[in-house]
Amino acid sequence: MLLAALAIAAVLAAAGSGIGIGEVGHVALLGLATFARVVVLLAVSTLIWTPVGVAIGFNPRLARLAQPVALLLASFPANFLFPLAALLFIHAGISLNWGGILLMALGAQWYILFNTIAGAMSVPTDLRDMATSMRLRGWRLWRDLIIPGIFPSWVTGGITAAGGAWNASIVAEVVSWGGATLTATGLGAYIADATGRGDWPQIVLGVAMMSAYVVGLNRLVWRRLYRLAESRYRLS
Amino acid sequence: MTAMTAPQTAPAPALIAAERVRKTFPLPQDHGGVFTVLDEVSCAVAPGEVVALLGRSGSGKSTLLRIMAGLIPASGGRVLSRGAPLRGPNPDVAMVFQSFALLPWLTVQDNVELGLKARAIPREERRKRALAAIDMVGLDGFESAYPKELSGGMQQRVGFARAFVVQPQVLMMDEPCSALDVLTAENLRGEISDLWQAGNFPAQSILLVTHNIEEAVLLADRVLVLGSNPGRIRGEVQIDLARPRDREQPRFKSLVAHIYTVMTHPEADMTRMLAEDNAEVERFRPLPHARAGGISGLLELVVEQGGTVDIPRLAQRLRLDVDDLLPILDAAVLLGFARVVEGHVSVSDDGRAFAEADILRSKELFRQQVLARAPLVAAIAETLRQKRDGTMRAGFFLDLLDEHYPPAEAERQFATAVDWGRYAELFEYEADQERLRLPEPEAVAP
Ligand SMILES: Nc1ncnc2c1ncn2[C@@H]1O[C@H](COP(=O)(O)OP(=O)(O)O)[C@@H](O)[C@H]1O
Ligand SMILES: [Mg+2]
Repeated sequence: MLLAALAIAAVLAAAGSGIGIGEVGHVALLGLATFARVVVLLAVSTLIWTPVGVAIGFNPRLARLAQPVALLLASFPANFLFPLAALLFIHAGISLNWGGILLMALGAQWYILFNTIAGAMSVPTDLRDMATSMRLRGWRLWRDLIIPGIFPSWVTGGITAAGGAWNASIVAEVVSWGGATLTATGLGAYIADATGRGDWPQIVLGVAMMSAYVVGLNRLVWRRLYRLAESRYRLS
Repeated sequence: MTAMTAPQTAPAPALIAAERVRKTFPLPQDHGGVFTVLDEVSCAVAPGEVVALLGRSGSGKSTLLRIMAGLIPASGGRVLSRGAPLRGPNPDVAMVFQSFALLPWLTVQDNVELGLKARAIPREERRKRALAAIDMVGLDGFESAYPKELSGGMQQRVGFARAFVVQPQVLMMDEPCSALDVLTAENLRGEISDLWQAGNFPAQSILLVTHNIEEAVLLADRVLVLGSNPGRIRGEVQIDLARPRDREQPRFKSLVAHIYTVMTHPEADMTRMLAEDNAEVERFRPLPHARAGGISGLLELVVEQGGTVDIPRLAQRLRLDVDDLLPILDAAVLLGFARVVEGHVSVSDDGRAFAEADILRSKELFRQQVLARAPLVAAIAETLRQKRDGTMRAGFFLDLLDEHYPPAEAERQFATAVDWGRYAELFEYEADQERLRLPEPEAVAP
């Protein structure tokens, strides 16, 4: 319902300002591009940070050392790095279409890490002892114990990280250094550009579209995963 | 056969032996400080026997079991597995856990097959062996159920099937019946006992951890009593009873009584306390976790029964576990209200006065004994008296306790001290503000 309301708002915004239905379609496609970035970001953050998070969460001594460090890193305002990153991308000739993913990830990745640590810590000692004593190792250990065990926490982290990444796209899909500006194709860049020009109808359309994506994905994907986590993978 | 002709064979090496095992854990507060959970513990499991490791909760039973299973390293001493030093998880062992430790996302069948998969046993054989184990524990028909669809007793049966299916040398059970209701637990004990007696038990030996004396006497050939703080083997009792065992047998009862005596025998603790007369140690001598009300209730009961009662009978009458009754007894002894001798508790003169006095008088007696014999409570009261406003944050005392106890224990010590101090009207505790304060002086009419 919310989704429909947002769609209607977008259409109204478009209609009231002479924005054609073609523009709405175009913005929807831009949303798809940003969505793809969010998906890649989640996948890569998960691949990198899940093993690290599990290693930390399973080792209390490591956790004591790592947690303050990770908190410090996470609280660092990532935007400060954006111009520097722009410089880097310009020199290396990396398109912001790819580089943007990295910039969006600077803030969002930590949610995956923190929740993985929490998830690993929530796996009861008895289950880990059982797995060790049953000689579950390597992939089998991950498949039968770790992945299902941290899944509920990963879903929480995923929702938060995805939300953060969508927001970050507005500042990450357009970056500049000195006179040079890099722009990625995406909904974030569209909103940033409209904001820069003070084009209200486009701003409203862009923001409504982003909300539609975020809310729609929460409904279609995250809520289902959440329910699955609750019913099947909850460690009481 | 005479000694002359007896073949000179060495005794079969133990399946698992712990030799002077020590275990310390770091204290979270104190950098580099440790607390000792196990001290110089030696024990062994020979082929074909059932050994029970009996001790109160917190005495380090699970820790010792995990060390012998190779799940955690010892801080000192060593573990031998069939004569060779153990490194890493002990391949001879399968475990049954108090919490069942089932994977909620796997079916009964898949849970039981876990260990076989890890051993790379082909699918068909895996399936057959798992079905046989599931059958053995009486769960056929439930192969495709998920753990949460099963009752606690059935879940623990899955735990047993999962251990049986790998045919371990030693089956380790960590309080396998403690999470079950009384009837289910008794049922399961009976079945373990039947299976063991039937002679085709899927493990050579059993190492059972429990805090339930009757469970130990019911199942074991040998009971090792583990004392607390730090955990040490306090004594060993051979259970020379024919199977199946009957709780009503006089010999069964006398063995239970004897083990109660070993467990409550204060000698070991007394010598230790006398040796450590240094004030710091004294101040942090652990309080037994019993409420003032519980202590007075128990004393009243014993006085009513004539002043001296057999502890096992008392426990039975109260339908209490040793775990629940012993701290109350310990507290009564610590406060000089009772003595424990040879499995009997008898009330002292102070105890009788305390039990029979009215509430005001009994609080006074309690206060007197607490100040003289519970240094932690006395120290808290003294600290409050030193403060001009007579109040202190709870955190202050918790921090001090944290340096001497693991965190959960520090909190329990604090809770017990607060309970005693309140009852003795030495101080009050405002839970919402987490502050202790001296009691308000009686309001005087202006
Ligand atoms: N991993 C650990 N870290 C710190 N303390 C521990 C750890 N495991 C056990 N302990 C402490 O060791 C003591 C004995 O615990 P445990 O072996 O579980 O006792 P039991 O099984 O006899 O109840 C307790 O005080 C407990 O808090
Ligand atoms: Mg235990």
